Amino acid sequence: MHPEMSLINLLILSTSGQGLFVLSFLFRVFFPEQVSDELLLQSGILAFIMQLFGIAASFLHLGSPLKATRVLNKLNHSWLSKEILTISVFTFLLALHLILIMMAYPKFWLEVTGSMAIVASGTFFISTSMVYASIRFIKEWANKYTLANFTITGFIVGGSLLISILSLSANNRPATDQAVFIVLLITFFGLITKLLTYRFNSRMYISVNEQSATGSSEPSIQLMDTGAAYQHFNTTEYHHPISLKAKAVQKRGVLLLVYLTPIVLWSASLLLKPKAPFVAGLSLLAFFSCFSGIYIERRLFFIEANHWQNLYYGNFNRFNLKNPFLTKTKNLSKDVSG
Amino acid sequence: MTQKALVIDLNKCVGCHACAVNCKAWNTGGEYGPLPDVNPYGKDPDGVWFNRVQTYEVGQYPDTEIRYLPKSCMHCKDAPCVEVCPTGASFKREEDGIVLVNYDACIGCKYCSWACPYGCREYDPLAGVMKKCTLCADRINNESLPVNERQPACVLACPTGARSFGDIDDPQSEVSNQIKDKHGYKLLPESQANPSNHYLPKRTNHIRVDLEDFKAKRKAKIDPDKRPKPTGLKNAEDFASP
Ligand code: SF4
Ligand code: SF4
Repeated sequence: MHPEMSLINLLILSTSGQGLFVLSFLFRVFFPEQVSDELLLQSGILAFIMQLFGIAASFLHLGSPLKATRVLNKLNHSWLSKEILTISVFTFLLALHLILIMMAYPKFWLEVTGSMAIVASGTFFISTSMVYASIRFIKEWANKYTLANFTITGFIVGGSLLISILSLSANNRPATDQAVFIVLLITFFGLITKLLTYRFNSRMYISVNEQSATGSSEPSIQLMDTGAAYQHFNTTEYHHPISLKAKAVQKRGVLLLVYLTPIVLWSASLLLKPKAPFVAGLSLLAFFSCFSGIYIERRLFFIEANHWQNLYYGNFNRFNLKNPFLTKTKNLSKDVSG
Repeated sequence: MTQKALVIDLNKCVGCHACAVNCKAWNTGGEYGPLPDVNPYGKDPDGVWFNRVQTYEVGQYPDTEIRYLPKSCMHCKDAPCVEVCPTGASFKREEDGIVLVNYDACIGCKYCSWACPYGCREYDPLAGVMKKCTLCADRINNESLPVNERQPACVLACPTGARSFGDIDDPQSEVSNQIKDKHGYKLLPESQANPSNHYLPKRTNHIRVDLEDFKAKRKAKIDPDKRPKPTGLKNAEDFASP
């Protein structure tokens, strides 16, 4: 699939912002003496801004944005409707929660609105993942790893932001260390899930081929002409040229930037116990590492999606089926795939 | 139930693209148009076509054959594109099973095209909406047209009569009989979308050509001395003979 930046921005900003708020709120509930209302307000406002940017990005994807309110028409059967509803409800509840904090409402009301926002966030994570996982003609998406990856990476990037905020605010060393420990655990889980995803994609069984697409039983079928003089919607929307070598490099880059670098930096901050400015430096470095890495990861998520309709346009990519870590990429790198 | 659909005989299709061109011509001016072209004479031309004829080569050289596959929306019975549409713009018309898009409701999110296994949806970048084959919904029920012209433009244009239109759910219809008698099949059955359009399978042509014999005959035809002299033109001017 073509990696559309508006959708990538929506996915990253919304899931990371929600990860940030959920972790901050849970921290506030379980360690009230270490996380002040002011800190929750700071991370909440950041999460709110990220939701707004995410929603704005989603508008850029639409061909007719002025009719966007119609997107809620089919809530009963379209995951896209549910995604837009849940992100809107979450953003509304988050705004309400922040207003109540600013107006110094009693703790009870803060906990009620915060918990409701967390429930809305849970439904959003499911809906946004199902938008992709329900497309059964893209096997790279239609599996359980889509939900797991979207959720975990949201919490990794959101968690890295929370750690940065905590490390930059004074006298918050114990809370920073606790947050680092929890986000480290999440990142470990994320790394395992990512490796399992790579393995799943490399061993996937694809039941369709040119024979079933055309109904011909001939063993050798070659597309000579797609029925168009040049590229068109069905060739550009569903295919993004990338060499196998570039794909393998980017996959390694994702592992390095999103998982391994933050794990090393956070472990150093926990084990070496450096002074506060160093902790802040390490935390910011970890955040920039996973934030840039997640863009590569989400681009690859689209690029690797191998839609069955590509069978009709000569773009069906069989090299996805080979694990780039096992393939002799030198021999195949000339083949354009995606 | 009524399910209007196309049945395409791959034995008759000669890959002339007349169906695709007539589809474009009719729908550009029809109710479900226009089908715009973007930058048609420049670099990176793009355009909306509801119907595309694809060309395949099957077999190994020298035993190869060219096959044509005209492809437009299959008007699936369990259309996945309709299920995913968030606005309800994509819908399956109850009276005849045709899958249509209500352009006024479509927001151009392209999600329906992701859910189409056949690559049959076409995005109109100028109008910002999704378009697709309508089985000429503005022709087939159009009482201002003569009865024999109330058919999709592609069916009327096909010079070999490869395309037929009718109700595949009516066991007495001509298209149902064609499917039964000639082993009509559906593309990509793994999609479970239950496409309505059917294809009648291509039978392999087993004619063998002796290359040397062919060359000799061709030479004889070209050589004016060896050509048979024209007869029966006594009273006419013969412009054709050398
Ligand atoms: S062929 Fe594609 S666009 Fe047409 S009804 Fe089936 S899924 Fe929908
Ligand atoms: S592009 Fe239009 S028809 Fe397709 S899913 Fe979106 S709103 Fe529905």
